[in-house]
Amino acid sequence: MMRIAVAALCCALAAPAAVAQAYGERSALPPGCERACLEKAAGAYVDALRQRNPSAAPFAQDIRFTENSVEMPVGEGLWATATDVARDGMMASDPDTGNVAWFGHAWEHGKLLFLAIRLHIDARGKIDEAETVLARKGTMPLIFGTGKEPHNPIWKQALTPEQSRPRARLKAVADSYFNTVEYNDGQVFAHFKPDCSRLENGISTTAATANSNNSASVAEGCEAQFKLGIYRINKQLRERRFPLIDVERGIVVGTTFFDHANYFDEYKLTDGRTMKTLLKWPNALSIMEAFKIVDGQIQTIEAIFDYVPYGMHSPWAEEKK
Amino acid sequence: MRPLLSMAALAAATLALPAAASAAPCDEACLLDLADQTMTALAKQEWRSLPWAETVGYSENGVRLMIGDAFWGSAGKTPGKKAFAAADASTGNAVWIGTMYDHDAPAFGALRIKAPQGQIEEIEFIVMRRGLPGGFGDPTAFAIDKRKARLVATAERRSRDRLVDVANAYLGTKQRNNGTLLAQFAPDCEFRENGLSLTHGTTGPAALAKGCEAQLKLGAYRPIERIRDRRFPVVDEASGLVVAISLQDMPQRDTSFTTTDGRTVSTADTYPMSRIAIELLRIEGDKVARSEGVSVMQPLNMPSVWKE
Repeated sequence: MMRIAVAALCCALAAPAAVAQAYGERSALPPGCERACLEKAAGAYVDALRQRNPSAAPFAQDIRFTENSVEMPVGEGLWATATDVARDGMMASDPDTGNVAWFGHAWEHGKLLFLAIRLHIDARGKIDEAETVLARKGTMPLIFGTGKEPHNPIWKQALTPEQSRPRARLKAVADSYFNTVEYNDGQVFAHFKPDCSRLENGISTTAATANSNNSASVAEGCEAQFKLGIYRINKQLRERRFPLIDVERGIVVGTTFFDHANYFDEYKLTDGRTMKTLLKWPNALSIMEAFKIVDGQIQTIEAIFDYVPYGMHSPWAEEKK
Repeated sequence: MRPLLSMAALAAATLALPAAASAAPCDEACLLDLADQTMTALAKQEWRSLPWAETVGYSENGVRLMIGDAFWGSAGKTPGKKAFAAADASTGNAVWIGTMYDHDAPAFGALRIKAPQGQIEEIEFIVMRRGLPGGFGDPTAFAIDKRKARLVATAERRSRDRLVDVANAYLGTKQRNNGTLLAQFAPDCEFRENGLSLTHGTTGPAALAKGCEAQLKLGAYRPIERIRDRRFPVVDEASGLVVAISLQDMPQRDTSFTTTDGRTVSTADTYPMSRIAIELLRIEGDKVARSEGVSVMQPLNMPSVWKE
């Protein structure tokens, strides 16, 4: 009798699913664009950008485009200034949601910049969302590489079943990284591989070199830096989103703002050393960050970010209201 | 139906009465005092002491924030040093402009408040800090020309609408500046921004030509493609003052532009950006005599949070 009742309840609840989709999904149908299809679209976007020719990219009619968290028509921003785009971008794909990402560098009127792109591809293979974060070398104290640092080859490797984790866990690990960065006082929420590395705007910030002038010169390695509380200035990591989870390769792409309120202009590391903030006034970083997660631990990270006004809002986050 | 509507209106009026009764209209002196109080409260990081309206809009450099965050946490104990302030009781706005501090770091700052009933409904900071892209003079020496406060001769006074028209014509001349003058300029007109002269200095547009009209005839401001979301919160007919706030887009499509006399000017040291600018305009007759203010870089095409 109980068995029948449960079965009936099951069917009663299941019936509406035939006409509705899971909460937050735009369609009950999977997008239908697999890895090759997604990466082809990303390649077409990059090629079109290289030519400053939006009509060469497979854009949907209702394309939404943002550059550093400002919505604008395709054709403006970097589309009007790009002179070349690197050929060796790091890519990640999420066939379950139709998202694909590209991390690399480009040139604007001949000047190097770092670029992260997140595209959403619709069921027809058309790009209907293009979200970009650019890091330009300006007057602000921004970490900035030379464009010669290679992407870690591990990004391209598929994980074994033992190394892999389900989507929800991958997202949780990436979020635990953001939790660790936020109000970084030495408490570490994320799990890191011992040889974890990070590339930020094309430069390693976890392995010191002779000319290092960033976090790596204070402490090397992902976990060591966080235990030291180097990133204490991050009042909050706001409007976090994880639009892409590449389960096959163990990659999560997240976006957020690092809010540097700078209520204080110096702070202490957990070992007692005193640090001065680079700037004394409120500012924020708009960031797109990719995490390679192996065995549930962060193996490597790439991030592209640039300064934006403190508290700036993401047009993409509005959709979550 | 009509009696019903009247009853509804009466009910609304009754409900609104206590708040309306407790608030008196705020004249210019009241608005200026409120602006001073706000700056004092900022230095103390104590916003609770200010008279707030029930609903308040707040922005810093074009971003909506909560009162208590950002500048209310980074402001230095040194009170801001006022260079100029003006109020307009007809719009309920006051503007305070001068040196502001984050910790011990001085900056060029402007504050706008709106408090028509003596309770602050809107508050806006535009602050140019050292390190941000753009020219940066000495903020501790920030001063506004004293002529700004002088009364304009009666024959040279213009109506509020006319002053706003002239201010708009000035911004229109700067936008996509191709040498056509849509506004008139006094012979000794000067533009100053973030403590630096744009018309009489040695760098930027001043390196091309001296004086407002000469620069604009030359197309020296060509990189500014669009001046949008223009607001004029304070107008004073007696002193010919217009406070203009706008967003100016510089997409940097090319690395150079050509002036009307055929010179090629490089802009290779900049990249696509917008900026938010607050300008104190002095208008004598129909002529722009002076623009002084603060401007701060924004991401390209950043939308305005104060759309009217």
